[in-house]
Amino acid sequence: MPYSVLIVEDDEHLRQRWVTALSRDPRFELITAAGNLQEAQQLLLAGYPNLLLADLGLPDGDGVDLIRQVGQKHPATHIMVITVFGDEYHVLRAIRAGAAGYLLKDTGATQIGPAIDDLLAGGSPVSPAVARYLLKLLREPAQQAREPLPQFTERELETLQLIAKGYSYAEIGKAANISVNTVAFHTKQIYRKLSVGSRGEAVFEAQARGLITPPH
Amino acid sequence: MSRKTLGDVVLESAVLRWAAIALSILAMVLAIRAIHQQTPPDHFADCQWRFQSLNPAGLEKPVEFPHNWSSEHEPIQLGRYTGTFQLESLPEEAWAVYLPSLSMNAAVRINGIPIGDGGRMTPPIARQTAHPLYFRVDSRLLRAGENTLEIELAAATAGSGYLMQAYVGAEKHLQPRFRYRYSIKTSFAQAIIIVLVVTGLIFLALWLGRRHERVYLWQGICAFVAASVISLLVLDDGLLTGRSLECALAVCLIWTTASCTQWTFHYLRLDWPRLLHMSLVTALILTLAVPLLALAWPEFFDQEIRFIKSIALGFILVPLFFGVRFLRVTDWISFWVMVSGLTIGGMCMRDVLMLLEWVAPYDGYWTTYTCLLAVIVFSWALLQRFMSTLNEAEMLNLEMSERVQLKEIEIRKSYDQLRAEGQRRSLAEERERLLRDMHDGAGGQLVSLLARLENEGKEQTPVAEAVRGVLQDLRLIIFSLEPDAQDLRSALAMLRDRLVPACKSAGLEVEWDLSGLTEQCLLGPRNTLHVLRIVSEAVTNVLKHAGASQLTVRAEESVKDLAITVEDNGVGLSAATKPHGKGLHNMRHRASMLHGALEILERQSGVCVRLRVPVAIDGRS
Repeated sequence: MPYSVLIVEDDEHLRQRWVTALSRDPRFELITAAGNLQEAQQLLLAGYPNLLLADLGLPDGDGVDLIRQVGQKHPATHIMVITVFGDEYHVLRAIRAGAAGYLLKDTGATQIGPAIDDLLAGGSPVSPAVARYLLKLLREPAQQAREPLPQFTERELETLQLIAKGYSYAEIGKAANISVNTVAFHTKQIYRKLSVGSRGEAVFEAQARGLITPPH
Repeated sequence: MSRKTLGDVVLESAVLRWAAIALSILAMVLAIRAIHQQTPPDHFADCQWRFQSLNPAGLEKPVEFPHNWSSEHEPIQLGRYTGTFQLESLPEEAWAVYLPSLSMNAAVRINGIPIGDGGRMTPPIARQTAHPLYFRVDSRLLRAGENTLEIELAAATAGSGYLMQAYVGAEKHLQPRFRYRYSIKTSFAQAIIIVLVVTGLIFLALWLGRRHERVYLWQGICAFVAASVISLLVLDDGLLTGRSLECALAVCLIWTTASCTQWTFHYLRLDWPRLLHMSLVTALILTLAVPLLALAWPEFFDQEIRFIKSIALGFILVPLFFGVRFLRVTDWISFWVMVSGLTIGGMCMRDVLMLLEWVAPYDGYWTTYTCLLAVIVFSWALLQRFMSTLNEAEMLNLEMSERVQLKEIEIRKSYDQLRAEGQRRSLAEERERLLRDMHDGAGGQLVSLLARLENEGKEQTPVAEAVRGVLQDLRLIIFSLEPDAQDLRSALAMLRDRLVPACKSAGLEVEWDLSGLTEQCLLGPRNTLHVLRIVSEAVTNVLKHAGASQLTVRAEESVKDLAITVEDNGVGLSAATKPHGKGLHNMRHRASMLHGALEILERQSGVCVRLRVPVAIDGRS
């Protein structure tokens, strides 16, 4: 099944690179690219893609708004945010808006495919930095007043803390006496809780039941 | 449990307290009486006495001592006592005439020859006022057989004269009696004057230092005025004479009682300003009225001056009343104040009675003798008060300075805290800004540059490598700046996340073992960055040049150092030293910045790069 991809990136070189890299992968057809929000909106009028790769810093607006819009209007679209450093602040914002993960802008050409695969398979990566940032936000009462964060279970918080300390999934599994899959499940739940309201439960349900299949 | 002393028991019970007070007063009174007690000399001539009034002229008549002219029908101004005594033989030792107590002045003649007088016999008459006179008798003036002793006595006011006793006899018998009498009457009074003046000066000085404590002022004034009274009584001759002397005495007595009143009110801290004003005004009025009276109606003045003096002394009842009513006897000071006050009051009353001629005048004023106790007790009371005020002030001062010190420390602490907060916040803001700049600026541009190179097919060129290196380094820098990310474990974990995917896609199996590190391993931002760069460089080297299939990164912490090893199973160093010579040099340099050592060991297959860092590095170096 051909996958349609929309790339929203304001830098032309990067945009070109993404297009080139993705077009090498046979799974991705119908690759469209936009340089700003307006162009993206135009393209979306024609139809929503299966995969959206969005940059956050666009000249005419915040990419997060686009992510939120797509997430709400068309929950079936997989959204990934592309970022230079993967810094926690932007990544968390994107996740809350409905992104399923993030890609580094300088990801090697050969690694783009596997990375997207991981994400589409429900990888829900949480880097130590993101975990730390999230934990810090959970501690700050002011944050809760501004933008209330969801309640996480004890297991989920434990997982976050271990990730924050730099444990790999395997190490967490050993420390908490659970399987690596369970760890992945916890991170997925974290993502889900964070983006509640943006994408809706429906997508996750659908994915869980295998109604929306990732590209093979 | 503190044992109560007998004193406490006495003070606490009202009955016992007043009993003690009464006993003390009684003791005082008896003491004064005792010192006035006169024992006649052991031997003296037995005289037959006759008295004749000279002014107005009168007849001679026999008389017995003590003789008070007020008991005579007419007011006598000048009188003569004639005494005759027999001597068997001429005495060998010296003789003397001793008059223990007389009013005004006396002139003495032995066998017609004057042997002495106490001063002027005509107005203004020298005063003795119950003070003793003593005249030596030259033995040549005496005759065997009958001898005549004549004493002429002058009174200031007609009818107010008296002669208590006259002794003639051997000097060795009379002199001790005279000496004793003189000391208790004259010397004592002189001493008391000095004490009172000094006390007055001290308390006036104290008052000048503490203006609002009026009690010091009135103690000073009272002391001075009392000293004036006693001086006037002791004075035998001086500027003031006759009527003016009486005037001055009366005024001084008025002010003595007035200042006593003021003193009492201030000491008891009674807040009755009107009463105080009234008493002062009364005193002032009387001070003006008495001299006026003396000038306008001199005879009336002369007659009634003793009443005026009585009234003046009688005013002592005012402070006495208030003192007894309001002074709480709770400790020994207030006990003695009460005793002194009551004693003074009692003696004043006795002296009033003497002025009114209900008590014999022979022993003079007894109030003088209460002055000593009063001065001691009242001064002690005030000084005690002064000291306790001082102590209280000192204590409060100490407390205050302690509190100020504590507050200072508190303030300084909170100031330091605020400053640290401010610094932290500004640093955090700076970092935020820096990161944002890097993210939006440098990072974005580098990534764009890399993309451009890739688009032109130049992703494998040295330029592209360099750019990737810069980007990677930027990531490391940003990571090391994070305030919470100082522990080495998370730093290396982050590095793992960055490098492992690239390794995997290059077909390199990676084992990243951080189990030997504790969470407490903190190196600080700069040192963490050095370690990250070294490990990153080592791993990149393996990726690019080793052609290995297995890569192991291990970190271990022991008591004395930290060891990080990067091992591979590749071709080893010798094959391609030159391309990464510079890289090795960089790594060694960075290791030295960490005060550590870099070992590069060639194995059978592959290279082992080991970084040893002493654990004692403090996070700030």
